[in-house]
Amino acid sequence: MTKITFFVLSLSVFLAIATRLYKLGEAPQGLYLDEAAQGYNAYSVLKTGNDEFGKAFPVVFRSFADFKTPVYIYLIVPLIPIFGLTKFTVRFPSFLFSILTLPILYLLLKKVTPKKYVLPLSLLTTFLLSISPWHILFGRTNFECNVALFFFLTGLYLFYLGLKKPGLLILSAVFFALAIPAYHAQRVVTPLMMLALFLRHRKKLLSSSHKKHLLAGMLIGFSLLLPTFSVMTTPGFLARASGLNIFSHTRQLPAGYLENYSGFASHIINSSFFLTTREFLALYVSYFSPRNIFILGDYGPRSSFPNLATFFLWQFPFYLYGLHFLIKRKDLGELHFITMVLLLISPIPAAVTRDPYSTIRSLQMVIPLLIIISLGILNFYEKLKGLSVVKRKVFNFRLFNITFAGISFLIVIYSLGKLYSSVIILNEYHRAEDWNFGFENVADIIKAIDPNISIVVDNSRTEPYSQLLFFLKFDPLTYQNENFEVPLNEYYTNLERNKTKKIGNVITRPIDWEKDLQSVQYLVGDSLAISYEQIEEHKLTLVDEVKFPDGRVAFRIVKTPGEK
Amino acid sequence: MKQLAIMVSLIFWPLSLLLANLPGDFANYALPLLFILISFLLYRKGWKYFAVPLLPIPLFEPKIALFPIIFLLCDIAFTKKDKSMWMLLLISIIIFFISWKGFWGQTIFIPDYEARQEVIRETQTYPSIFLARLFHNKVRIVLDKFTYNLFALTDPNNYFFGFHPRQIVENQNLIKFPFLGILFLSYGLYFISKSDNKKFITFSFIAGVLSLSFLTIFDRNDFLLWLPLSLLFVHGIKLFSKLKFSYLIFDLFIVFTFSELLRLFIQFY
Repeated sequence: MTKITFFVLSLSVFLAIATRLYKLGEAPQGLYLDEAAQGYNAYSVLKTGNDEFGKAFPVVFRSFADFKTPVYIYLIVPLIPIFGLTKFTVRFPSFLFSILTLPILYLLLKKVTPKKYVLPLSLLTTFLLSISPWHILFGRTNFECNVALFFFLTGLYLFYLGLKKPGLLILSAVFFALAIPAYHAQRVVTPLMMLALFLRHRKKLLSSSHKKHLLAGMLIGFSLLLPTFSVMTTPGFLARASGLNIFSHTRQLPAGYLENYSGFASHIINSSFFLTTREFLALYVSYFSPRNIFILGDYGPRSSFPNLATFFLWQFPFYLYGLHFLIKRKDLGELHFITMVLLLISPIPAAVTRDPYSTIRSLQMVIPLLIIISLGILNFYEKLKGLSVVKRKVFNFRLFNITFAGISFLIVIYSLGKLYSSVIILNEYHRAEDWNFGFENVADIIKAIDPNISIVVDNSRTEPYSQLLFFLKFDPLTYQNENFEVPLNEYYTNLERNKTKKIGNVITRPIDWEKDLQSVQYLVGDSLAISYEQIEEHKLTLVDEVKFPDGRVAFRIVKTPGEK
Repeated sequence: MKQLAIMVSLIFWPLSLLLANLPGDFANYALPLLFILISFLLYRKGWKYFAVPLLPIPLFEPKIALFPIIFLLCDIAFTKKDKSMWMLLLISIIIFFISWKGFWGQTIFIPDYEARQEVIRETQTYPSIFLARLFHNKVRIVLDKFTYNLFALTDPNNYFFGFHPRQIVENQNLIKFPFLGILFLSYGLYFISKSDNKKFITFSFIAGVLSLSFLTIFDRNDFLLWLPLSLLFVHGIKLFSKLKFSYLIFDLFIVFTFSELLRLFIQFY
C-alpha cells in the first residue's frame, strides 16, 4: 500500500467515523418506536432468552402490526452489557457496519476495476461513501438495511476471491445467506445478484475445481436460511410485503383508479394489470431520476434529512458524465457488469412498494451511483489535465493540481457543513416529532413520581409502550408475565393485536375522560389528548410538560383530582 | 404498427393539454410551438438562418422570452460563429427587453415574501450566523427554485407518468407521452448521435428547459418541449423497429397506449 493510498483510506475512515459517530445517540434526540422496540426486544432476549411476547429466539420478531428482521436485533444483544440499554446502543450496529462497509467496498472495487482506473476509482468511491448523505443517514439510525448491505458486499467480494480460491465460495455463500434475513429488500436483491453472478461465471463455477465448493456453499447457505424458510409462508413473515406491495389492492386501490367511472370500458380503464404495470414502471424510473437523487430525496421524514437529498447537488454533472462513460465504454469489464447489475436490480424491491422513492429499500443503489459519480469525476479530471492551459507551473507545482486540490477541499468542507446543518441542526428542530421525541423525558418524570399511583399513557395516536419499556428499562420477565397478545404457537400466524399494555403502575390505552377522573391518577398524553381547556374543565393539576425543540408541547403530564 | 406507434405518441401531449384546458388557452400554449415548428422545417431545408422564426416568440408569449436567446447562444457556441448570428442574437436581446415587463413578473426573481420569512425562521435555528447564512439566504431562494424547476423538467416521470402516480405536484400532472414510450425515448437518446436532427433537438431542448426553469410556474408552457421530445421519440421508434422482435413491443405499446388514451377522454371529456 502506497503512502497516498493509506492517507486517502485513513481520511475516508476518519470522515466516516466523524460523520456517523458524532452525537450518535443524541441526534436524532428522539427514539422512534421501531428503534425502541428492537432495543427492548434485544434486552428481553438478553435477560430472559425470550422476546417481549415470551417467544424464545424468534426467526422474525413480532413488532406492532409488523414483523422485524432478526439479524439487527441479535446484534444489539451483546452490546447491552457493554453500553447499557441506550439510544447509542441500538444505533451502534448501524454505525459499526456502515464503517466496515468502507474497506469492503475498497477491496471489492480493487478486485473488479480494470487496471487503468483501479486505484483512483477504488479510493474515490470509498471516500465519497464516507461523506454520502444516503449512507450516513442509515449509519446514524437504527435501520437494518445498512447491516444487510455490509453482508451483501462482503458476500460479493468473497465471491470474486472465490473465483481464484474456490474455498472462499463457501464463505461468500455464508455472507449472502446472512444478508437475506438481515433486511427485507435483500430477499430480492441477493438472489438476483447471485443468479447474475452464476450466469456470468457459470463456466468457471461449474468447472471441476469449483463445483464441489459451490455445492458446499449452497448447502451451507441453505442450512443457514432454514429457520427463515421455516416461517416464510406464515402471515407474520409476509406481513410487511403484503401490506406495502403495489400488487395488493385490499387496503388501497391501484394508483390512478378512476372511482367515479363505471362505464363500458371500466375493465380497460381500471384494469389492475395496466395500473399496476404503470405504477411499477413509474416507481422504478423514479430511482434513476436526478430530481429524486439530487434534489428531493426520500419523502419519509425519518429516511431523509431536511434540505438534503441522497447525494450532493455538485455531484450531478459527474453523475451524468459518469453514466455516459459507463454506458459507452466497453473496456470496463467486471466493473461494468457489477455496476449495471446493481443499478438495475437495486430499485426492484423498492419499486414494488408504494412509496415514491424509498431510500431504505434501495440502499444498495448507493454503491453503483457512487461508482458512476467517481467515474465522472475521474474522467473530468483526465480531460482537464489534457488541456494545455492547465500545464503551467507555479513554484514547481502545476497550477492545475493546486487549483484542483483547492476546489476539491472547499467542496468537501462545504459538503461537511451541509451535513452538519441538515443532520444536527435542522433535523433536530424540524423532525423531532417524527422521531418520537419526548418519551425519554416522560420516562424520567414517571420515575420521579409516586409509584403507588397509577399512570395512564394515552395511545390514541401513537404506540408509546416500547419507548416506555426502553427508557424505564422495565424488567422483561415481569412485562411478559403481565401482558398477553396471542398464544405462542400462533406467534407467526395470528396478527391480532392487544394495544393495552401494562408496565408496572403504567398502563397504555386511550384516556377515558369519564372513568379516569374518578380516581387519583396521572394521565400522560400529547397536546391533543390533554389540552389546557381540559385541564381547566376537569380541574387537573399540570405536573409537567415536555416540549419539542421548536417550543410546541410534546407531552403533558397531569394529575386527576380523584372526584366526580 | 410503427407508424401507428409514432402517431399515437405524437398526438398524446397535444390531446391531453387540449382536453385539460380551454381551447383558447391551448392555442396560447401552442403558439410558441408553431414558431419552433417553422424553425424546424427551415432547419430541415438546410437554411442557415433557421432560427429567425424563433425571434418573435417573446412578443406573443413573454414568459418564454429567453428561449430564442438561449437557442442562438447554443447555436453560436456549438456551431456557427459568423457575424450574422451575432446580429440575430442582438435582435433577440432587443426583443427580450421589449417584452421584459411581461417576462419579469412571471419569473422566480420576483420577491417571495413567504420564502424570505422561511429563511429568517431557519437562520434562527443555527448557533452561528455564518453557518445559517451559508445555507439560508436570499440567493438560495432563487437558486433553489431554479434547480427545482430544472430537475422537474428533466425528470422522466414528469413526461411519462405525470410525476409519481401518488404524488401531488402543484400543476396539472398531465401525462405527456404514453408510459411504455419511455423505452423508445431512452433508445433515441442513447443513439442521438445517429439522428439527423440532433442539433435541433439538443438546442431546442436546452433552450426550452432553461427558459422554463426561470418561471414561477412552468406547467403548460412546457408544451414547447413537445417538438424536441417528439423528434427524439420518433428517432427512437425508427431505430427500435430495426430490432428483432420489436413488433412485440410495438403491439404491447399500442394496447397500453389505447388504454391510456381512453383514460384521457374519460378523465377530461
